[in-house]
Amino acid sequence: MNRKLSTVFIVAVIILFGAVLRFYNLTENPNSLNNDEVAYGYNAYSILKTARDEYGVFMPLSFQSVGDYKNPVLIYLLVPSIAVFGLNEFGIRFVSAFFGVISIPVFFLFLRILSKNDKITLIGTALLAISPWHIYYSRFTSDHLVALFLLILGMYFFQKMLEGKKIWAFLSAFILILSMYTYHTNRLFIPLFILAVLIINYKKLSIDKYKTIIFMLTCAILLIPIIYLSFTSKANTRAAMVFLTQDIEYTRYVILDHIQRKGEYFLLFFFWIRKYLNYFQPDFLFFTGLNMTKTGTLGLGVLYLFELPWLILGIIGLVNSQIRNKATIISWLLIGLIPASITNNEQSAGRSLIILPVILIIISFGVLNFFRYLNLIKNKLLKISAISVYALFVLVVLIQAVLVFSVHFPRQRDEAFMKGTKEAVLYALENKDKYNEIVFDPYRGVEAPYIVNIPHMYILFYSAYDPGKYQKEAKKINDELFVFNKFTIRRINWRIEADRKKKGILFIGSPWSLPLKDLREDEILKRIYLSNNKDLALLIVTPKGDYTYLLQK
Amino acid sequence: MRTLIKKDCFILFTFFSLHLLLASFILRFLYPIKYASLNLFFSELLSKPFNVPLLLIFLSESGIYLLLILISKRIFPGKRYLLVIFIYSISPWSLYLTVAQSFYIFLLFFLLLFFYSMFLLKEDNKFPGTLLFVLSIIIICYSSFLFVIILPLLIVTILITGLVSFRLIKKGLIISCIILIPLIILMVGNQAGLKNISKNEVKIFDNPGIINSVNVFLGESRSSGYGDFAKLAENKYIYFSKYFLLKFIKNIIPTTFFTPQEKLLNFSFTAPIYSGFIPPFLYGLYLVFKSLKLRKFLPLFFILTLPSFLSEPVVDLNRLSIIEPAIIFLISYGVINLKINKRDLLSKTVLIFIILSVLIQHLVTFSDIIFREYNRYQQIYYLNMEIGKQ
Repeated sequence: MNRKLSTVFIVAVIILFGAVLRFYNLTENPNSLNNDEVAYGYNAYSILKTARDEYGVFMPLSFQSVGDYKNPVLIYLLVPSIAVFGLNEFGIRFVSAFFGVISIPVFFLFLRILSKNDKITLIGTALLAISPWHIYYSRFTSDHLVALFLLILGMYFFQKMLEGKKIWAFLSAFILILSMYTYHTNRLFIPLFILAVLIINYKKLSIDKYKTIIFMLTCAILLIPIIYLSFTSKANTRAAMVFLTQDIEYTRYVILDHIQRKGEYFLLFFFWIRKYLNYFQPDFLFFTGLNMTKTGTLGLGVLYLFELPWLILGIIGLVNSQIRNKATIISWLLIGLIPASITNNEQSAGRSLIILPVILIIISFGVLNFFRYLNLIKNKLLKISAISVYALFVLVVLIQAVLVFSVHFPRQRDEAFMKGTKEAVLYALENKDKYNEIVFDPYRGVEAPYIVNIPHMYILFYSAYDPGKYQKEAKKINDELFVFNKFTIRRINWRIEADRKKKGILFIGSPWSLPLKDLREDEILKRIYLSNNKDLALLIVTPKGDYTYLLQK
Repeated sequence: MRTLIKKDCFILFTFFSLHLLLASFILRFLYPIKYASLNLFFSELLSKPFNVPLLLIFLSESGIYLLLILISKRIFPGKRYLLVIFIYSISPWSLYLTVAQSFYIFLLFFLLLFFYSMFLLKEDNKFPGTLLFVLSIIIICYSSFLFVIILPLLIVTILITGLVSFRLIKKGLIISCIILIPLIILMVGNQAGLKNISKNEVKIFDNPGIINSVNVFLGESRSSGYGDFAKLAENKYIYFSKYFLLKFIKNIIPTTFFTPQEKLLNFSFTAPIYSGFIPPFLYGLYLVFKSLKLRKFLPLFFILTLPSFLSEPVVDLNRLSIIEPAIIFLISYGVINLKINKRDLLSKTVLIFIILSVLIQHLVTFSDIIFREYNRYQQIYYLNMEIGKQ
């Protein structure tokens, strides 16, 4: 009884600590909502008010949004959050943070049933609570995190199903398939992984075939909408957009598509192998994987550097069959990387988040082995020195992590979170009545205008624009233009004088589209800087008329 | 017996011809792309630069082939040594570097000669063993500044791990030290030249990005009020330590050897060694870790990654090529054990997978060389025929 109480107490402390790490300063760090967050938020708000998405589709299973066809679960989960907390940063981010926190006790339960070892369970739970990978995705709206929670919960029910009643079969299937409605990666991962675990646990499942039948039947029924959507809707455009064949490195460097297309599928296969194995690179795992600092600098990996020896010891333990359910763990790890590796661009910490639980299980085992080897040191002084040195190493790494999260990330990556857009939009909304039109250039970026914003979503979000009105009102949409109400989203043509002569219009754009040297001081209404107060992100400008002075220059 | 020897020679001749044929094939499509010549160490000190010509590099490559046969025959019983030769024959790594006139192919030949001499000494062939031991040490030290430091480290490690006893190499060491006296005099006499050479060869501290990022990070922490607290974790010592650790790990992980993660000749998409060999490599490594006797070779493996570790890029495949034979030995060890020790379905499946994937990748690689490799080179280097320093 005492042991149980102390375990509960320890887990409660871990959960509380994890909650602090996830909720502290949630609305200020990251210091702006990114494109996806506002899009999720506004669609959830639209569902809350009208039960329809921004396009007027009733309770959709796939949200068209900005053409990326978002999955529904996160959006529906955001509805009660927005209802309670409002359409603001906290209302949007609460869901991820909340699921990040409740993942901790669920992981504890899953680990306990999987490993049957109290020490591994507690170590793994603690590691999840402080995991930089998990904390990072808990702090802004991310479907990866909710999908991970559902995966862990689904696997927990699956393990219960193996040991217990038929009800768990239904629950496991339901939750696992629900995760497929949460994140695209799971749509490939879950079917493959379910097949693998069914094969691995074939003997146990054949004892009570009804459990398997309930499980499979539930999966099949719940999959029908996804299969239907795959064939009928444009939701597959998302998959086509991010597939490996769209990778710039593949097209421009590997197959050199402007020269020769022979043998490209074989090259694609070997390119895929390289991408797959890239997820085992030390820079991704321990040095820069979370991409929280500028390129070329040493930031934070998906795992802490002090977890490296534990991971190695854990892998040795895994190979030597010291870990229970080894086959399930290995399958999870290897299959989990397939969806992430067949997408374009470099390693994505978000797309590979599904392997985090098994990595932590391996590391937990490694921690046990680590202390076991430490205990073998007979010399007391040597033992204390070794522990002290390692403790110091852990401390330095944790201090670095705190600094990356709280100081460097908000400053160095604020552009990725569209810092400045909120200020620009609020200014535009405040002064809307003074202008005939408000033109917003979506292209921005300090180094080059390669970051694409979705200003209309920010306008809808921060004005809490009536979804019913927005669904019905006329909009002009083509590839280069989006117009609704007074707002026009398009490239600004300042240099060719088309725009600079237009009076009564408010222009919002980066210094690339509104070059400072072509602007008069009285035309600049507001300058919006990034967090470092040096880099100019956006300018708010209104033309004042006579430009003959420029011809005289 | 004669028939068996004739058969052996025929197989070896076939593999050797295949190896040279592949080298010529690559030469046909990639010549005259080459590395900037690296002058021999002693010639730089004498201010009379002399580099290794292409013909000598080709001869060294052929010599490596012969030495691999001689060494692998002593490691693997029976006909199993042929596997080492076969894998080396078809691996692009050394072939690409030979064609590009890499100095490290020349160096690798003498390194293998050095290790072969140990085998001879252990077999009681004192005269040839000592002769080759001395010859290899002299040529390596006179040719490469880095190996003036690394070779003594190798010898010390070999003695400490007990792979060879001091008694066997004592004579050779004394003779080598005497012959190295002129080099030492040169080094002492031309300090400026030595400093210049060391600066060119040891570039690990030449990364300005680390110092810049430390300053940027400290500046941000200071402006946030963390100041001295941040210095505990953000200082150049810690950042350099992290960088060195990253470099070390990247130089020993399988993705470096088996995928085009790091580009051969700084532009190629060809993997140094085919990725189908990953499973037997990992299996061979696992068996080596398990064996107390074989584990003694691992420190040598890590020491041989030093030239690449000390280079400017995170991984320098040119300098790292000196561990290619060690990797091939591990792969062969893995394959042999898969085939012989475990006759179960899994091992058979893995073996079939290895054969098929290597075959396919071999064909794809050569078709890729024909159609795209030169264009990749042009995309990066345009018309400049030199692909950088060694």
